[in-house]
Amino acid sequence: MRILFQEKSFSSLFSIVFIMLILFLSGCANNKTLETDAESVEISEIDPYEGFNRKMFVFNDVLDTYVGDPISDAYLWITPQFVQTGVSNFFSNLNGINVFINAFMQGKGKQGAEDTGRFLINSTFGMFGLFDVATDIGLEKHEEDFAQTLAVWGVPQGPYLVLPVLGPLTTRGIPGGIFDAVANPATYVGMPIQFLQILQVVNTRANVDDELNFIDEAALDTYLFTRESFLQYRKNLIADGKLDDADDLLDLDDFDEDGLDTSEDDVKANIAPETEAIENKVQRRQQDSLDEVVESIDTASDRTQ
Amino acid sequence: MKILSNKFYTCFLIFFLSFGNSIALAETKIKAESTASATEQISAPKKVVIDFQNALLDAMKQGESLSFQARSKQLEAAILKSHDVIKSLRTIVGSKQWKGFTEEQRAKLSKVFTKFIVSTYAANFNEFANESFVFVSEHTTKKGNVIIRSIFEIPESKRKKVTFDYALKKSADNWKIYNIAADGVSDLATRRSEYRRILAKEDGFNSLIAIISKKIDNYAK
Repeated sequence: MRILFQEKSFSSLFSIVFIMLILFLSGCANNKTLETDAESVEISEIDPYEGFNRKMFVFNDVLDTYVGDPISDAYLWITPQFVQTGVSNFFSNLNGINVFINAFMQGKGKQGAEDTGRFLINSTFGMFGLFDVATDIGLEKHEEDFAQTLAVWGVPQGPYLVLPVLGPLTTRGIPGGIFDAVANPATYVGMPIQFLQILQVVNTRANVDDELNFIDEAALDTYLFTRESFLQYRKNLIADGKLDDADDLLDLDDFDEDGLDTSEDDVKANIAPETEAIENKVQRRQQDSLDEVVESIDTASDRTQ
Repeated sequence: MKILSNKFYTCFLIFFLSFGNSIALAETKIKAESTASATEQISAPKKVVIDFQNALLDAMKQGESLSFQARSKQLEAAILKSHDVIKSLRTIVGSKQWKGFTEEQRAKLSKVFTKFIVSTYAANFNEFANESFVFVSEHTTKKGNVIIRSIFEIPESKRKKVTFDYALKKSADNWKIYNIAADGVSDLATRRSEYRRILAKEDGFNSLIAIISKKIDNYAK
């Protein structure tokens, strides 16, 4: 899941896709009713463009079946495991710059320092990032990107979108993706080694092979399964995986044996505190991390003295 | 100038190295403390989760020698013992929908759903490569439910980690798992949107049964 649902790294392809998308969305913005099969189905608020998204989802799926999957299989077959690991580490390390920038921008001082350390150590002792020595000495890898930073800053997530080739994101992920691309050195690799970027795409696809197979087997509706998983996974990343007292993991308690139907109220009642809890969490964390920054600056100045 | 910048760089690196190490040390200390307190007493919900995880690891270790059917049978016992499958199902479809079902439909859906859950486990936990579950925390929610967090560690070269949150509710006899979230993705929430969508269509009940049955057959292949 991890790699599968990172906001995608964008290439120059992005601008074309983006313009196409704007044209398309402005064309269908008025057409909000969705018709599937015979009945019209209640549309989720987060996914007003489900009709368009489903088409893109099918497009991506077909593309993956005929292009992504065979190439990924070939890659997994011809490259030994240590090469695959090296390639993954290398690109993950390049992305490390973006990780620590975003950690700092979210006010996570201590984590930002760790992530900077990770990047420096892996870029030097780890042979340009081919080896992840930082994890061995206890500097864990974190997942940060600009879309998460925007969320922490209070930018609303916006509707869910499935883009051709790039896959699922929410509109917050568009500026997010652009920023991430700008902050990633792989974006600036010139013509002679553009091979590198292709390798990155192939490697990313190969890394999620198991996850995609799992979804294919387990999902009753792959589109909905992917959407729900994506949205929840991103939410979890933004909250840095923290649980709190309000987090019941969906105990709707909605079943009353005597026949009193309380389900709908309960669902609604549960959703509101949930969003509130996240907002509180974010605020609290901003305060916490501010304290951390101050603390880390203090320790740093102590050391230099 | 060059020497100077090198020197600066080394200082920088040393700073981060020592910084990183102190963090790592602090973390191992915390870990050691939590495991020390954990051995003192294992709470009832935690025991349910650990027993279930051990059953999963057992099934994985026998992966080569057991057939899919045999593994399903073995896991079914472990799942029924630790999970409140029917509560999960009711939450997924919603109480309104559940009450709309006839007694017969409920029984049929429960049976198919349970088989689906078991098959999913049997198909995915079928080999062992030194994976392990590491207990992280136990957390009581406002409603009095318990969430057990643990990390599924996949060693070898892949170095993957999945955080599993098990949500348990106390039922008449014991604590039972009603939901599991993997890296924050809640099983019930995902299924809820799928199942409710299918049920909302014409002849929804029968098509739901048909789709799930097809998935089960696919796993058994």
